[in-house]
Amino acid sequence: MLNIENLTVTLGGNRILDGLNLSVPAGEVHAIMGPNGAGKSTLSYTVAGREDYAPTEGDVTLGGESLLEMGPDERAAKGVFLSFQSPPAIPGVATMNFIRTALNAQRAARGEDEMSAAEFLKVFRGHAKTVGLSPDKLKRPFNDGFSGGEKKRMEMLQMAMFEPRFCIMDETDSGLDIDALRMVGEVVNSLRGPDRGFLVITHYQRLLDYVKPDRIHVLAGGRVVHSGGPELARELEESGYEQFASEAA
Amino acid sequence: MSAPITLTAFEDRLFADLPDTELSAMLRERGLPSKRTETWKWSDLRGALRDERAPSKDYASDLPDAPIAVTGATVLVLKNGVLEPPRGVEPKPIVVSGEKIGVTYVVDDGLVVSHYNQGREADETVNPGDELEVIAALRPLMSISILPGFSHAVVLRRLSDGDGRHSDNVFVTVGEGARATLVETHEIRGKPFINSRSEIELDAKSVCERYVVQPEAPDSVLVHTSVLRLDEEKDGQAVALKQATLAFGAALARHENRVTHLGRSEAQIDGLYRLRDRQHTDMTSHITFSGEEAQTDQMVKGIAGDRARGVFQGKFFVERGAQKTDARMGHHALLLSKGAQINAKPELEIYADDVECAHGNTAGALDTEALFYMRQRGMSETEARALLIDAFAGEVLERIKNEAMRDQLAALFNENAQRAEASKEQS
Repeated sequence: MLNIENLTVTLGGNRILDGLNLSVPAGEVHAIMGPNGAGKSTLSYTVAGREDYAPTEGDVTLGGESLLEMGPDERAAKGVFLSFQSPPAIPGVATMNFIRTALNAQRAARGEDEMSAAEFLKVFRGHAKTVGLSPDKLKRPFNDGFSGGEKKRMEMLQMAMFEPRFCIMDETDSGLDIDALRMVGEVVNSLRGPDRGFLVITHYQRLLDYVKPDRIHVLAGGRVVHSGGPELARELEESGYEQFASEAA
Repeated sequence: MSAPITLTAFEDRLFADLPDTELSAMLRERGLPSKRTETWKWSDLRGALRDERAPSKDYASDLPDAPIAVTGATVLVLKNGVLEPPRGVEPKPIVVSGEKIGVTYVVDDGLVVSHYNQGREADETVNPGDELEVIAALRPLMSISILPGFSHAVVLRRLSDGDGRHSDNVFVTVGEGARATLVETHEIRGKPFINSRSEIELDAKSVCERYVVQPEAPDSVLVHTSVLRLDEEKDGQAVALKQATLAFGAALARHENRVTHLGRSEAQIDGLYRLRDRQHTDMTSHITFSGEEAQTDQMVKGIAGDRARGVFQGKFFVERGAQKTDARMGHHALLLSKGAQINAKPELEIYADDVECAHGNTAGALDTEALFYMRQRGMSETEARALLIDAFAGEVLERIKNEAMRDQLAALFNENAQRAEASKEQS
């Protein structure tokens, strides 16, 4: 599914990703954990195609197709979804109009029919209920005046709407209470399936209580320094990253 | 006094055509406003008008489709500054002391349009920067009167073409308790120089919505000065003015508003400009608070791409007795390219001690975080930019409560945006 080979990204003269290799097969959920500054967010931006995060070396493929020559919107149409760590507010842009325009832009790019306003509204309302966003909030401009937690709920709402092939969740758990974490788990688990992959970037074990990963990777010094099964999360929680950080050096 | 300047060929001819008075002598000494004139430093009129220009010939182009239509409105047309007689109405002479000084048309119940043979007599002095307004005021006066208690909509289309120069001088009275919707358009072809003047008097208890619309005119030079007076309250009722200017640029365009609140009255003096190529638009306003409890709420927004230049100069002048003035001014600009420029100068001059005056001014590029986010969700760059620009401009358009007007102005804005995108894709 998602294959990352020898990915190297330099920002402001610093090598943030340094020959990173990672493979997430279809149907699996992989978690990335690692200390601050390890390159976790850089990895998510690079895969999603943010212009100033273009790699100097390596390749990223989804289903065998290289993403690197594609713009962020083309990658989105191919099924790459990034749940942002700090989603922006877009004042003046109505929430539903934004999501529907984006959804239909993706569908058009894939040669699919537009989703009608009525169908959109029905699906949208259903997901809004699941993620716990009130209709009042959804009448506001996109993320305008939303708390950090509400913005994360909006990310989950879109992930559910777009049904992407591959989801990257960049610290979706930060700033969330237990109920919200449970909601994230619900959304991810409802989307889990044989044709879909997830890369869950997190600092903490607690999200992984709700989203059971198949594999956990430790990112340090810009590369994956250790990989293991779900039990690795608890180990990291107890003893920290120090033991693996030395492997990166 | 500094030594007289060397006049440009344009100035030489323009001043020679004025009545020979102290005013023309002063203009010959001083010349037209230029970047050395404080209030024109970002709009170099003198530089834009160097070559000699003859007075405009008769308007020869077709009648373009009106950019704005108002149901039930009386449409008045000025062609190169000359009033087309209103259709189907007999003119009646205006005679003073046995002399015919103009004609008048009773266009409708409570709506009178007059055309006088002359304008104002020349002032002896003129403040630096006010020269154009004073020159336009010398032109034969056209007056539009909405009589007390009546309600009318008037669309005044100023059509211009050719490569000459012309002025117009329009006086509008909205009588006591009257309601007016006034739309003024500048529809310009070719490369003329136009010096327009609107003087608008809002009598007690009147309500006026005013829209000034200037479609793109890349080769022309336009100066439109509006002088507005808002009367004091009467029977507890304040005069209310809601105004919006929508401008798409010219080689040089200046939309200047001079507003005076004589007492408790409310004004909204908004503006929106969108510029591309090398176009220029200057939105200057000077708002004087003479009496107590007046309110002005001003929101001007601008978008400049390519090598365009937007100028905003806003001044609130609060006189000593104007207590409880409540005045807010905002100017926010979006720069779409590195070559675009925005110059802004908000100014407050306050001589009363119990007032609330605020101003805010920003200029910046499109939010790159938001752009990336929108593209990550599947929108093309063009789509995402357009949505962000729309949202930016929307703040001004949403303040227009008249839905039919708002929709038409938004449509004009979107059409211009699409043209700007299309030309960007071609280049």
